[in-house]
Amino acid sequence: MSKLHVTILKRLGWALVVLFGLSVIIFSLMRIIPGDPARLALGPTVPEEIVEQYRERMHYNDPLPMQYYYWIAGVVKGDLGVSTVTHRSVTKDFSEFLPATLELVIWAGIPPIFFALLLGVLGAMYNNRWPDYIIRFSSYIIIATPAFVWAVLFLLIFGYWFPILPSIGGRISMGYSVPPVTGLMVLDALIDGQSAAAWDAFLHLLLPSLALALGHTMQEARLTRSYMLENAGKDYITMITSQGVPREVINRQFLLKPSVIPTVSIMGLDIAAIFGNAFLVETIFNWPGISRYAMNAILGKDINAVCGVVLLLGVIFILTNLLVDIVVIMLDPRMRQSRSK
Amino acid sequence: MEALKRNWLKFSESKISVIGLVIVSAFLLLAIFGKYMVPYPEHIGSYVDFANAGLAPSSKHLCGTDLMGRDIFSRIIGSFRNTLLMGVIVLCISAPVGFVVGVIAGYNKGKLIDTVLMRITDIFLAIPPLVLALAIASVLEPNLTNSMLAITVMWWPWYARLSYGVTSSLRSENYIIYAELVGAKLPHIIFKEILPNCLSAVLTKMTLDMGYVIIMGATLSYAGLGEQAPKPALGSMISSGVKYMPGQWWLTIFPAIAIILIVLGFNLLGDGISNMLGTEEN
Amino acid sequence: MENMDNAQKDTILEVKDLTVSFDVYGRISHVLDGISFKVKKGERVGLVGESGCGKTTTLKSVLNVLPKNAKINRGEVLFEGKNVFEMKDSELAAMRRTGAGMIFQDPSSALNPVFSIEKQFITALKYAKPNNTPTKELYDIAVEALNNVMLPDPERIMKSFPFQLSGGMKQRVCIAMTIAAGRQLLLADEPGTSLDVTIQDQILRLINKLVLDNHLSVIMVAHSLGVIRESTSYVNIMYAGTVVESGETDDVFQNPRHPYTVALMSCVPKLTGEGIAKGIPGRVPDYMAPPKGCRFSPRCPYAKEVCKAEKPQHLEVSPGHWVSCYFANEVI
Repeated sequence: MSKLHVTILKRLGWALVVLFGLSVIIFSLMRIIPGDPARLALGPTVPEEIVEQYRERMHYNDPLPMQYYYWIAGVVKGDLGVSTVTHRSVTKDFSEFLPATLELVIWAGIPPIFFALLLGVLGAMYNNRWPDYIIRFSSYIIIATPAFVWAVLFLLIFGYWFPILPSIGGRISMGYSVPPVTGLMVLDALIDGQSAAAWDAFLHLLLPSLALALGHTMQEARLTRSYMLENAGKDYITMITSQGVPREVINRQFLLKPSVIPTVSIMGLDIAAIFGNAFLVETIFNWPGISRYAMNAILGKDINAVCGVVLLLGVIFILTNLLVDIVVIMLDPRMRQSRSK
Repeated sequence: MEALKRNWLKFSESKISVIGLVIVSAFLLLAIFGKYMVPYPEHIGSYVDFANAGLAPSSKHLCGTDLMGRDIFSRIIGSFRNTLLMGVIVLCISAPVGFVVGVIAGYNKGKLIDTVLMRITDIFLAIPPLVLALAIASVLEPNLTNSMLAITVMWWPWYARLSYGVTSSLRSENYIIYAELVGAKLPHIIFKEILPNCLSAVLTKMTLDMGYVIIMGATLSYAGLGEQAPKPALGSMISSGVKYMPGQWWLTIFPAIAIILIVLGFNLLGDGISNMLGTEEN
Repeated sequence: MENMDNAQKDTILEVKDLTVSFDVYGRISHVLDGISFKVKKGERVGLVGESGCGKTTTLKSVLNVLPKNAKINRGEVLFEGKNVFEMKDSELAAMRRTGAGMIFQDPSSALNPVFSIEKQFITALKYAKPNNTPTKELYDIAVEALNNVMLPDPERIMKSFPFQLSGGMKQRVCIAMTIAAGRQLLLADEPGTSLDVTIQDQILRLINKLVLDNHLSVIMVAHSLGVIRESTSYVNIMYAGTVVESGETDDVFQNPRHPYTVALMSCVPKLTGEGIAKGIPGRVPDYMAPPKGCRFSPRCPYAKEVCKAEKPQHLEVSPGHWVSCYFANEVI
């Protein structure tokens, strides 16, 4: 087995440990809520014997480690309990709301990376000239603006003042009917051959994903720029320059790659920020995703749904981080060495 | 004195960090004395004047009035104290907690306690912070204290990472080993040898983090999990204004601008400080 | 007249009155102040001085690869008669590809950490060799070059990444990359300093061997006098961005005339000598505000008013032996 495989396996094992830790944190969260969980689930009017029966059935009378065992055994089987707001199984709610969020996060997370790299490279190339000043100045303002403020501003500007883009109509306009295949609306419409529907769905995605994307895009652009400038002064660039390799080749290969690696390696954090911000952005744009569902659950004290969402997003986050790690290992030969010395 | 002057020269090298310093100073002043400086101090709280409700910005009400007839400008300034408290308290708890965890783990590098502490730290880092903060804030009573608590729970691991890195590299430095050999007590080593070395990194990170913490606080407040009405908070002012867009746009726009300016100020200041300390090392 | 032409043809590199400053956070650091020296074809020239006296800056000027904050205030660097600061891009590229090449002080920072040796070596060769040289041929040239620097298993080295090689191996790779394209002038910037002593010795021997075998010219930069004495025939002593003394290596070592050179020599512990070496009191001046006259004057035991007022000229005190000091004849 190659070193690469060993490293990836190690990361996988570590992901499992983190997953376990995450489940313990979420379980503790469910148990620190003030009040009796059985009473909270059934409501104040149900007679005490029924509550007691429920308690027995849910193992609430057992010691905590046993309770954890029963809970996690259920979770592994896909049983996250019943939502007290929708009165359906949380897992079922997920299958309905998750695809919309995934589509949003994918659009907000992946295409902007290329803009970020482009802006970063431009900023470094035109260091201390006007393109650099414009990029830097706007990045300061954009990074200082919380995602939910972007959402509100877009709503005001494009929803009311210049209604050129759909802003609160959900994922697609009325009148289109797209059969679900992947759950990702644009893709499904394309699969079904409805290019007009795909374009319409894309327009619906534009504002919410932009609100989620702006901050991390500019952050990544700034990082790329500063790593490019820092690395440009390194000996290895002077060395390859002194060998007579043309500047464009140096910039495109020998400078870009080492400067991009640190930016890529923090992208996991950006994904986390996108998921967190999606809570408010989905609510503001009325986007029928899991975050808006969770936001309602939070406000309605729907603990099964809240914990289910945290667990789900934790798992997604751990998986994307694993993916980011693997990409970094592919890009950076130094990471292929086993880390423990 | 000479060093101070040199640092100031380096800091003021970039005009943009001086702008940050000006914004932050103004913000601090307003957070502390704003209550006595605003045109309508009684509007910072429960106050009703329906005759003047929903007025557009004018010379009398710079940012207009809300639906209770309260002056928005006064309420924005009135919310600064809590905004500042949010940042200061979260960072002043999470930085020392993280420092202690990081130093204990780093000092015992390679031992069981190192593994346990740093793995726990990593688990906290592996959860989207805003998601868990929202969840924690939601199971607790929604108020300012609990929202600070929720953010603190998510913030200390960064400081643990940072001081762990510094400590574990110092651990093998000769002067620490000598200090041990001549019988220096652990508190001496931690506070006299390790702390001074971590300090500049930790302080730089604290100024850089201030803006992020304020953003998170505003986000929780927007979700209704922060300071409750009638007390003003920038996030909740925006969320209660959204329903009245676009007619009464001033309900949302001005608090939004206030958040952007505050965060911008701290980010610029933080960059200036980290540049200053960064070049100091070279 | 004919003699002049011959002398010009013989000279591969001439540095004339080179004056370079750096912009450090808005303050100007005057690092090089009127450096002049020559390198003849096949000659081995040394540049000696304390750390931070501008040796590396001088070498980087030769290849015109100074950092962005550097400014050439005065002077020129003539490579085969052409000023590198005025060369067209294509001429500059040609000079770097086949004319002169530099071996860096710290091999672990001179190789790109995220590309294999093969990628870096082949890319460099691709531009140095005629267009459309097949990659296979470039690969063979690289392997042979690695062989010539006594690296075992060159094929494995080619596949390696820098972090997988030791410091000595990396320095050999850098030397191979610099030699392989057939460059005439080698700029060796303290090529062993960052390595441990035995490796340092091997690297220097290797460079000397390659220089002699391939009839190359070399500028050997060092702060160790032993290295210079062993491997150069002509030496320039540098102090704080100025050349204070120059001449045949043996001549300069036997009859040092500049107070700094004298002090430098007495810093070397001699096996036969009095044991502990004397240090030079004081330190290198602040480049932001260098002394107006002779830059060594604040540390010089012989300094008089005139030294502080005006910079001394570089004068020939005996045939082929040049010194920048008003009192060169009084110093023993």
